[in-house]
Amino acid sequence: MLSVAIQTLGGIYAVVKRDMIRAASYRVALVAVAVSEVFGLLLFYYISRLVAVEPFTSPGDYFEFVVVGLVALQLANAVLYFPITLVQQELVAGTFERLVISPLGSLGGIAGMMVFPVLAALVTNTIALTFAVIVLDLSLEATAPLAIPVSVLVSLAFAPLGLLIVALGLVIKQAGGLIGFVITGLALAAGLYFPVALLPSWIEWISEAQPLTPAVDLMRSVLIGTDTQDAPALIAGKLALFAIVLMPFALWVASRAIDVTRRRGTIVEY
Amino acid sequence: MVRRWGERTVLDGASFQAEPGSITFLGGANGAGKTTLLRIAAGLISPHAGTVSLAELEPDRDRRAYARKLGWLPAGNGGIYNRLTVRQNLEYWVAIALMPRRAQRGAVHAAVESFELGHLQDRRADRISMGERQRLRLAMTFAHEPAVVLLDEPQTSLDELGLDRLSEAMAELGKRGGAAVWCAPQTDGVALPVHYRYEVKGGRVEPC
Repeated sequence: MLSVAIQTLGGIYAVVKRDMIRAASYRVALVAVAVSEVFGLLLFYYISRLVAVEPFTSPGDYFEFVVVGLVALQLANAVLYFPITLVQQELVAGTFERLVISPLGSLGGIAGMMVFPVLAALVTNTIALTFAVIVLDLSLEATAPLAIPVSVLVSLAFAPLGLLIVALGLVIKQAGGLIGFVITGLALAAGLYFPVALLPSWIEWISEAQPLTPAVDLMRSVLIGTDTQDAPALIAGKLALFAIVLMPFALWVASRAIDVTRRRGTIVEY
Repeated sequence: MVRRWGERTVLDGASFQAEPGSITFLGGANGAGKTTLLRIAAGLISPHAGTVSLAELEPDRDRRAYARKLGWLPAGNGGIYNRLTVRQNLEYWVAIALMPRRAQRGAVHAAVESFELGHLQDRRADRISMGERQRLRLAMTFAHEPAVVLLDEPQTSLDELGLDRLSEAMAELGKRGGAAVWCAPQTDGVALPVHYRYEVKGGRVEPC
């Protein structure tokens, strides 16, 4: 049993290594992502100069608030958008077929494909935050390094949703519109750009029913020292619960999606 | 096996067996169902009726054990990572084939030697010729020492050297008690060994 687990982890590591080699072969890609994140920061930096409303006491206050929202969004993109994009690329290149018939299998391969985008998001987020500190006067708390384990926890909480999107993408073949809908909806409900309290009361429950709201709350706490709605340990527990409760369901749905596409004969179609 | 695509029944009671140590050829016109048959045998798609087994293992029931014993070469020239080198493609494959870590290096070395890829191993896969890509794809198919290889039009783009290397790899597999099944629309001018010859026709597999 242990040797099977070790071999599976070895296979997943091979997928991560493959994605790292591919990403490194496109020399400017990571730089382009980091630069685009920096541009996003600059955009909101200047927008924040216009903000002088409650609950923000100064433009700097709003900038701090939104910077963490952008960092969280980058993580959400890494888990929700990139895995299905990678799977679609694999389908087009014919490499998914090899993954399906490999002993690692499609589920193991998809799990591996979810890792590198998170690592890349951690790197680009670090670059963006460093830029914001040095150039845009963002002041981070001494607890800021805790953002790394928090980011890992957030990614785990989002992983089941990412897996569900991949499962749907395998069945319906086009999940692009759906991802845009999900990510924009989450950004709206989780208060990435504005406090959740501004939302109409009838919609606020959505804000509590998905992992991005507690995720961004916890990240704001460790990065800029804002008060959290619940105790940080409770929020961490909520995020872990999202992962623990939803992952078995997401794995079941993904394996059903693979069975369905094998039966239909569409598993290698795109 | 029975397999339909929409209203069209492509395989309608198709059945064959590959004996240990044998090389089986499946011929048939374009659209006869050769690729469908091999995809079902590989466990890539499911039949609407019928079963496929490999040493009592079935792809649905024993997925991982079945996959360990199987080598699969899809038709065409895809299935490799263009941005990875020849060696990196092979290393990736033996890793996801879940070979024991200490056996992986030897397996990659043997595959490189078998298909004469030594001088290409540090070249990116999109910077080698089509025939060389086919040799890489074949090397990946045989690298993890499968018991059965299913080869969909393996002769594509291969020159004499490539065909020789493939023949030797199939013969080696046979000596180990394994079996090779390959398909193509015709055998004319293809210098690959065959012990049993079948034709896929009218949804069935018939000796020819």
